[in-house]
Amino acid sequence: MNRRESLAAFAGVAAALAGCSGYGSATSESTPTRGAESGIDTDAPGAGSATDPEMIHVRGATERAPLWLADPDGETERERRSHRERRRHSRTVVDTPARAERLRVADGVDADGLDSFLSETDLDSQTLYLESVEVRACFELTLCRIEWQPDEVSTDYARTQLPYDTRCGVDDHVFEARLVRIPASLSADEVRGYGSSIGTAGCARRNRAEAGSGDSASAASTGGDQ
Amino acid sequence: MGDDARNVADRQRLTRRGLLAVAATGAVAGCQSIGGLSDDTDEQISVFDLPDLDRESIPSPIVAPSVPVDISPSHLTAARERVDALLGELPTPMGPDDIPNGYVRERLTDSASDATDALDDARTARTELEALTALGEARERARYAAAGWAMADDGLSVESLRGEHGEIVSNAHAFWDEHTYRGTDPVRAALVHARIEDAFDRLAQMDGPRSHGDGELLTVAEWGETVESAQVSLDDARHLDSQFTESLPADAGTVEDALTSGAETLLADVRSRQSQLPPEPTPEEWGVAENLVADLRRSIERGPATVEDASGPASAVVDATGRVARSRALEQIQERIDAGEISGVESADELRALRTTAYDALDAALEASDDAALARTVVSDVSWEVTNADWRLARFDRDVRPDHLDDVVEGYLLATAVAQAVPPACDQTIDALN
Repeated sequence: MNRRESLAAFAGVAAALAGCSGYGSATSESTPTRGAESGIDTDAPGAGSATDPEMIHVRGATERAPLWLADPDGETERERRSHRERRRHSRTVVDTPARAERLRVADGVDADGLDSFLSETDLDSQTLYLESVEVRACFELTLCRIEWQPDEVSTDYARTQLPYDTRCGVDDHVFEARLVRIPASLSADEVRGYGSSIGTAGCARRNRAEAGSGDSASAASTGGDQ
Repeated sequence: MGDDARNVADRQRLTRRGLLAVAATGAVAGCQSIGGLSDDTDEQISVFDLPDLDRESIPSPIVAPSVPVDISPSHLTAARERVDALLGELPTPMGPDDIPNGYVRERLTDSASDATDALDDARTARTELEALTALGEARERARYAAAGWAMADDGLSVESLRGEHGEIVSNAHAFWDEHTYRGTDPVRAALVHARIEDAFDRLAQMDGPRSHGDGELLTVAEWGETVESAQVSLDDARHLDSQFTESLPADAGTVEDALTSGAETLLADVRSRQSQLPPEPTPEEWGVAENLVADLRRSIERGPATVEDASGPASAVVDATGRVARSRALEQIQERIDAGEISGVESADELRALRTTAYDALDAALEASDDAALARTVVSDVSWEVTNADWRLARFDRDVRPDHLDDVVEGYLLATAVAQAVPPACDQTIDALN
């Protein structure tokens, strides 16, 4: 089984796991960026940024991340609950088909499109970045920007309030997980640094501010040494 | 009126620390030091020796502000009725069927609850001006909730509120165009007209809410609050103006020239005192003395440089009086620093003494000044320093290193020095206006 075949095989599993609550979709957002806030120089070799990366977005009222990377030793569901349920923010780099096979979707979460997304990912030249963030149920996150370099990945989100007629509990929390396709080859072993910021200004404003704070504006989705 | 500071200082209540003491009896042999901050626990001041304060009972500010004109009971009643009417528009209780988004619903119910709290504050206010201010806040918070609900219930839009705001601003400009600085006693006139100027200025400078990140409904709510705030400012300015005019003899003329030249004289004095200050030090270590000097310098520099920069000549007079007092206080503080008299405290007794001195100084300033109303305005302002220091003190619930009390010490020392400078500063203002 080659890399692409194994990804396709996992995609079938994901489709079977897809359930009912939450929502998932391939989404894209936003405009130009500049990597000042994260400290990543997106013009450096192997570095880049994207404001509208291809990704799978899963949101679920689950107790833990709705999309996760299982441990290689085949951890049980019970163990996963006890270890992970307090992890409010997790991120991981998926750089090989073997790691991609360990991707799991929580019961009852709709990860629509995940199978085709995975089968269309070429891990020779692309990398998947899985980030899961807990957010208050009356809010949602929009990924404004992702930046990477060989040893670091950083994201910036806008947090916006859901419409007033959307039912949600003020004290409830949900998870939002994003599997982002980075158009560059990163190694999970080399990525040591992660950064993430969440603000209340919208992406357009955040990315404008970001562009304004940099020395030069760099175009989105520049891939580095692919 | 001069003893309100003393009443506060003497007040005894069962506080959080009092409860702590009851709970801890026998269980803890003295409170623990703040973890990791000090190796020498002998240096700590016991929390039980500090003044035992309940944050909720500390008046804000210690000396109530007032304005030397009668605020009519009917004006206060109308404001109260307005709040009741706004709150009456809300569904009670407001549930998920009314506003499904729990966060938005909580913002609205919190706002309604703020309005109710402000109504209570108005009922227990120490002066009519405090009551008026609390009722204004109650109206704003009630309107926030009512406007938000009206968006969900009746489609109220930002556009409609923006239109209403524009009308109020236009009415305010019409009022301002007609406004004259009538008065007989220029000091009293300055104090009343300063409130009117400030209200107009606040209104004229507010062109919309500053929030972002809120959804559609809460943006409408913010606009509702902004519109109400503008209407409150206009209502109160009109009321103060008409009440003041009614209190004057029919042939009372204008005091605008006296206010303008008085303000210019006082501001010139502020500038002159500023120019005589030694260059601002850049110490390597900041202690009580350095912070005191820096804070006083900042508060003297803040504010209009000329009458043209102020909301108007009346507020320039009031503002300059405060800055003259602070300039005089800085001169006195500087002398005491040079004499080695300003430092942090080493014991709870020292702190208690500084606090008592500050309260006494506020009372003395109210009693000693030749114009009680002017003195109260300036003293009330500086008494915020004591409120803030008391708030900080109330937060300590364990033994404390003496230098962690520096902020508190600074607040009491600053308030004391400024209060002591209020009588001569008031005399200067009276002279400048006559």
